[in-house]
Amino acid sequence: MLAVLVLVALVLITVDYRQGGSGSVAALQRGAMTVFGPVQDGFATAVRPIGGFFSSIGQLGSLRAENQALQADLEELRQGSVSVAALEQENAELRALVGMQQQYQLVTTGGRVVAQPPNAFEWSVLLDVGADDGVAPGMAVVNAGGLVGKLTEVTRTHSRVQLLTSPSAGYAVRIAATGETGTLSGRGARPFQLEMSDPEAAIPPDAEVVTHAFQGTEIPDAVPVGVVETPPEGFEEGARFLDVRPYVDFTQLGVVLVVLNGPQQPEEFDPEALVDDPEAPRPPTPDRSEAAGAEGTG
Amino acid sequence: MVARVTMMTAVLLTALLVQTVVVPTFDVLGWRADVVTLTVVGLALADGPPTGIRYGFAAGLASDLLSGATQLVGLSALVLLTVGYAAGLARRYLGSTPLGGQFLVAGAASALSLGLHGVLGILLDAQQSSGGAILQGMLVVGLYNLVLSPLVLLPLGTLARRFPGNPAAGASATPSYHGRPPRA
Repeated sequence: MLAVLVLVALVLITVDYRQGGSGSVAALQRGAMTVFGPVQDGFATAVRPIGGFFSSIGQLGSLRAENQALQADLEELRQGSVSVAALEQENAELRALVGMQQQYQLVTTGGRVVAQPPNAFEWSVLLDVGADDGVAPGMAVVNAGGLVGKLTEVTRTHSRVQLLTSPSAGYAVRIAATGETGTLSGRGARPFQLEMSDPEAAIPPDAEVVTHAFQGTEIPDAVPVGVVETPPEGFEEGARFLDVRPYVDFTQLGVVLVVLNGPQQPEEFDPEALVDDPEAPRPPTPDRSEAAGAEGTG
Repeated sequence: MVARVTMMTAVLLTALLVQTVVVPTFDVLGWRADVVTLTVVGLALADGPPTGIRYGFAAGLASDLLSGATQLVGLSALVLLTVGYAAGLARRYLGSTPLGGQFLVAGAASALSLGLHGVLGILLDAQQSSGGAILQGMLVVGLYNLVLSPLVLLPLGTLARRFPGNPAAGASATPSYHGRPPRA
């Protein structure tokens, strides 16, 4: 029995490893997401007030200490105060999201985080929006703090976001102040790792890191990501890897926005357009126009 | 026997829902408690290695399928069936020790589960965690699960007694949990 099950597990691992994201095992995973997603969604809706309850326990305690006589009333009001606290928190979160959307002129659709994966080495969350809401794999996900991640799997009603904290993906970013580019990768619960393209580049203290539009991705340009953590003794000379502290609190994701109008990078990239018209309208980033100029002259 | 399989399926579904929806709210240093592993340990301690292996395999497979595409399907199944087997073996040595021993086994098994998962993940190139992060995770999750273990182990012990298996008949009489007929 033991041997049989170990063998089955090993065969599954091998098959999944060889087939990658397109094989039958991955399809099985998507099937499980299609079936279990709505169940998780319903359960999340049912237990959401419990979180609000725990967050309002502190308030309840101080009220009791102030006035024992109010306890009876409190019991009656508890249900109400719980939902009000939860609603206020949600309200603040949604307001911040609206601000984010207007600032970057993104066309987005809001999604609620329903569930997280069951094991510790998987950095993704499940959203309650799917293909029916117009989302597709590859789209960027943001919240009020900045970039959250990108969609990897989408079913009709639900979708999975690979968080920025996941070590499995790298993101093109740049230092907002200097335009120096680099690649950002997650390291789980620890700060992000930023590898600069030019290790000699000077990094200003507390430099802000923003996304860098890059061919083949749908991540919008200049979405904030985090702040470079300056070591107390200053940067080492030519340090290639820098720590970046994210703006987004990945443990407290509630409502996020899926960006529907990310840069649609043309698959059929027209080479003639590049040569004849190097000044074609592009995202207004200094290094990008430099790159276009270089290609035009060369 | 049908009642018993239904009970275990219900336990697994509940554990998966709690693990994916409720537990993430209460993380410690970015690490989450592992309720699914606790149910594996609980049932293995109540019933012994065969149940630990089968339930562990089923629970791990379900976890894998509910994870993102970067998760290798079968990895958790392998880890949790090992944990179920180990916890089932540990039952023999717990015999007459007070309940506290069970909780210690649960904590240790949870740390083992996370450690195995992390190390296998690195070996199979499924994720890039550092050894330090895995050690920290083993410590945090082990302690966290140790604290939570009475909440899971005591009800599971009661459930397992309420729906007893057939230990005399051994593995062959116990159907697996995918609804297949028992291996005769």
